[in-house]
Amino acid sequence: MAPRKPPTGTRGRLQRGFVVLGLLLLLAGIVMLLVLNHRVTTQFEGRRWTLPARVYAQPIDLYVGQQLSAGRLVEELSRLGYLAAAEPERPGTYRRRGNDLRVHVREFRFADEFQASRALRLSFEGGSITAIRDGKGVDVPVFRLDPLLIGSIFPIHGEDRLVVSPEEVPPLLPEALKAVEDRKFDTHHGVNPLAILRALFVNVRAGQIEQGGSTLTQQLVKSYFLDSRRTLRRKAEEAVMAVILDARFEKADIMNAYINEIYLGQDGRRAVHGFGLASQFYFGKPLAELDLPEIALLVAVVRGPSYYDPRRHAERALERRNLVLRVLVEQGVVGAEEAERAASEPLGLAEPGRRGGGYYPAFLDLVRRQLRRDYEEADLTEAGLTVFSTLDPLVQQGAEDALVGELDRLDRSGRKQAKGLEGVVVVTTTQTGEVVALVGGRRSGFDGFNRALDAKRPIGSLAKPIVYLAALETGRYTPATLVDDQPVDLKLPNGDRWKPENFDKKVRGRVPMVRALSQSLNLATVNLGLDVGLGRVAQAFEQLGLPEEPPELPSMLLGATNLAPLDVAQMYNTLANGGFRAPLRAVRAVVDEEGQPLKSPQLEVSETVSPEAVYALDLMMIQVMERGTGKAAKSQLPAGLVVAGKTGTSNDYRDSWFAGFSGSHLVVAWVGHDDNRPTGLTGTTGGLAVWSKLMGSISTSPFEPLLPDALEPRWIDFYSGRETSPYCNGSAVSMPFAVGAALEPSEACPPGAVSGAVEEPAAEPGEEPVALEPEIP
Amino acid sequence: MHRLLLVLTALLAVSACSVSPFRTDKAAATSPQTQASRNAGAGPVLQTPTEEIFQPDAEPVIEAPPPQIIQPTPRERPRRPAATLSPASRALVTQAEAQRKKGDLPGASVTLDRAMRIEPNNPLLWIEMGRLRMDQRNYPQAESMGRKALAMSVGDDATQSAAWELIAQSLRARGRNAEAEEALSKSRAAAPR
Repeated sequence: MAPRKPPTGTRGRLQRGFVVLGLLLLLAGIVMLLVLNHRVTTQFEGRRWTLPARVYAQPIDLYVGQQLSAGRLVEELSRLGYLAAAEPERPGTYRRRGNDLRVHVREFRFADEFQASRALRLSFEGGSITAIRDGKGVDVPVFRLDPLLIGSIFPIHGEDRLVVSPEEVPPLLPEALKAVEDRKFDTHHGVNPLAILRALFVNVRAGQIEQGGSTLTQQLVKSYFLDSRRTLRRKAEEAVMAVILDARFEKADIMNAYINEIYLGQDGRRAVHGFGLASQFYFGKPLAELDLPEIALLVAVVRGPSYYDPRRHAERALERRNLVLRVLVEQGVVGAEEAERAASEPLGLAEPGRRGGGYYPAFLDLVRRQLRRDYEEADLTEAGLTVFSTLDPLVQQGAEDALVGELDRLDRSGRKQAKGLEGVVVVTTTQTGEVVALVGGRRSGFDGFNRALDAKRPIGSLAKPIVYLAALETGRYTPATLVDDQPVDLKLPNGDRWKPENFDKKVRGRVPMVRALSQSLNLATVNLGLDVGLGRVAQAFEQLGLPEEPPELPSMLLGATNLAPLDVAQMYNTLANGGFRAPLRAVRAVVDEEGQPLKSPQLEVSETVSPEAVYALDLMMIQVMERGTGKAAKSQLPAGLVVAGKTGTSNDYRDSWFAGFSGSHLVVAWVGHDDNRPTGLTGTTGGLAVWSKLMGSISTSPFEPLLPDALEPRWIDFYSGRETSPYCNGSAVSMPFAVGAALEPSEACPPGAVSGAVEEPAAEPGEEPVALEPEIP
Repeated sequence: MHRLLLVLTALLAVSACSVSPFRTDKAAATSPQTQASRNAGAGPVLQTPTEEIFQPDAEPVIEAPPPQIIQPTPRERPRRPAATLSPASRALVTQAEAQRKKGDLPGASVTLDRAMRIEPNNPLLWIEMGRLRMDQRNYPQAESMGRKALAMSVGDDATQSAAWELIAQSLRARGRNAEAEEALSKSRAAAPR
């Protein structure tokens, strides 16, 4: 055995070293504590979540005389998460008995005023509202329902939330959270050592970190301050911060922060945080209106939003919800009977994308881009703005259904080229230029390439009305003016030869403008456009609302210009609006967190095209629908619904367009392949099919423009352009002319005749041109 | 004038030969002449004959309706009754006026947007919106709203007069006094006595 050595210098140095090390560690600990303390207090004190701007659809206005049946309104109410009740005493409930509907409308802070919740009684007759009275029986002339929340403008990292104040939280929720997640919440100091020990024991046995003994405070700290890595150091930091948080803040504050912070689900790129948004996301209604089974489900989801995702793993989620209900009984939070009833309820999930918390990425993208003109990105994603948009959920749903329905039909048609097509639908209100629906593809909930705004494709014959407008605006042309449907052979500046043809390769000689447009004759249009001048035509594009004139090439006359569907909608809206250009807008109002109005685009109109020229063009475009390429729409539309429009097909059938309008709505539909393959479809078989399906399904009014003072209607023959009598044959059309204009009378059937020969036997079937040759780079 | 003469000639011709080979039951219901007389009363909405009127294989040939005598009215253009607001938009216009008086112009704008949604074709709402734009000192837009109201109220003297008055105000606000005078005289000329 070696003799004991006396203490040496080495040992003394070691001891001193330990002391220094200890001091250093202590110092480091204090510094760390101070740093964490600072972080916790400053960040939590001014507790501001980055609040994405909330975007609402336009509210439904209810008024006497409105065309809306009780059944339709009930549909709308359930879309907003209203529940049927025997006695509609709570906000968010209704009762319908035949034509009598009682609704307890929710409170809502609109852009212009706060509307308190109130009970209303509506009567219906013959599909419209005949009376609206409040609780005291006083007539209410007009009333808004709370609008549908359609999403939010969340930042790139995808955190979305809808912050709720303690008053908006049903009292059951914090009780349930405590019972299930943290029973000692009211008494512990931020951490629960016993629970940690228990968890450690379980973890050591399992050999890895699996189960957390985290208090609600720790969970909050983890989500609010730290990233999700599970290391021991994180654990220590988390515990220290939880203790600090608990020491410095009230339990109630911590609970409210937890309710708003915690992660509860995923919707594509969007992370659903907080119970406020989760309630909308899963049930389509405000948190305050949730009942026991719904609250229990949300509490169940806390433990693993992906593992217990009620939409993907319904069984698992249901099992855990019922487990939560049992725990609530054990802990005395709810009675056994109540819990049993709740356990027998289905999950009660809202259909995603159909109800509140639904998600319209293409439209939201437009909202974001329009707001970006006035706001910084950070203002939109963080400042808690409320955005009142122009989206009409009914029309949006009609547009999605029409597009998906037609594309599915084409999938089944057996034509190889027509399989897997994509499409876009844009709907605006013609007078005010509001975008009421926007579908960016057949998977409308998919947040990707926004075709409606970014897919710039050749517009084909959609360009023709613009050529005719430019001609009419010169004052030298009328709907009866004869144009040459004769072969064209042009040498282009780059040396290429351009020899466009008609769709059926025929030439028709001299035809009146109205016929050339309705039958979409290529050669007549090119000759007309060259006669009018490419410069004038390019200018007309800009007058109608294109940001800049397209390049002046002859092929622009047949639609070689690449435009996005929204650009087309802007131009055609001016045609639908009597020559008044109204910049399309997706936003009506923006308010800040306190409800104060901020800058937002307002309704604007400017008269950019001669009303007389637009009127004449519009009447010619009605003929497209009556006897031209748009004729097929008729069977889909209600009788008496006058519409005007134009088909468009690009080279080799790559793009199939239809743009057209009623008195109140403009619809632009595009169908094509993303990789620009030929579709085998003309504007009639693709775009028009979607268009007419939608136009026939929404509530809209006939197109009946007022005759401008300087014009008068005259009957002319569709085939010869000569003045005729409406009694002679089927080819008489009523067209507007300058008052007293000289017209050549028809010989076979002059004006005033009661009968006469049909000058050309029968109307030709609707033709649709293949537009451009050679292609424009 | 031309149109009325045309209708008269047609009527005379129809009554002269009582059987028209092309007309059917449907034609009687939607014949151009009923449309023309409806238009004369209801407004100058231009209608086109639908294809149903002329069906070559339509068998039953019926008698034309008895001739109607339409007295040409002394004025060239058809008149329309003055536009009115529906109860719902009247309530909203009243509310917007109250908001404007309080200086809450954005609120008034939101309220008028609502009314526009209900009756987009009512020229009176466009005039209201134009007046709001005046308050907002957006004079060019005030004028545009007035011009839109003009286009939607052809034949409605009272509304035309109000629209011209709005245009005159917006011109005067921009110091374009001569044009303002001209607009004002148009307003006076259109004003129903």
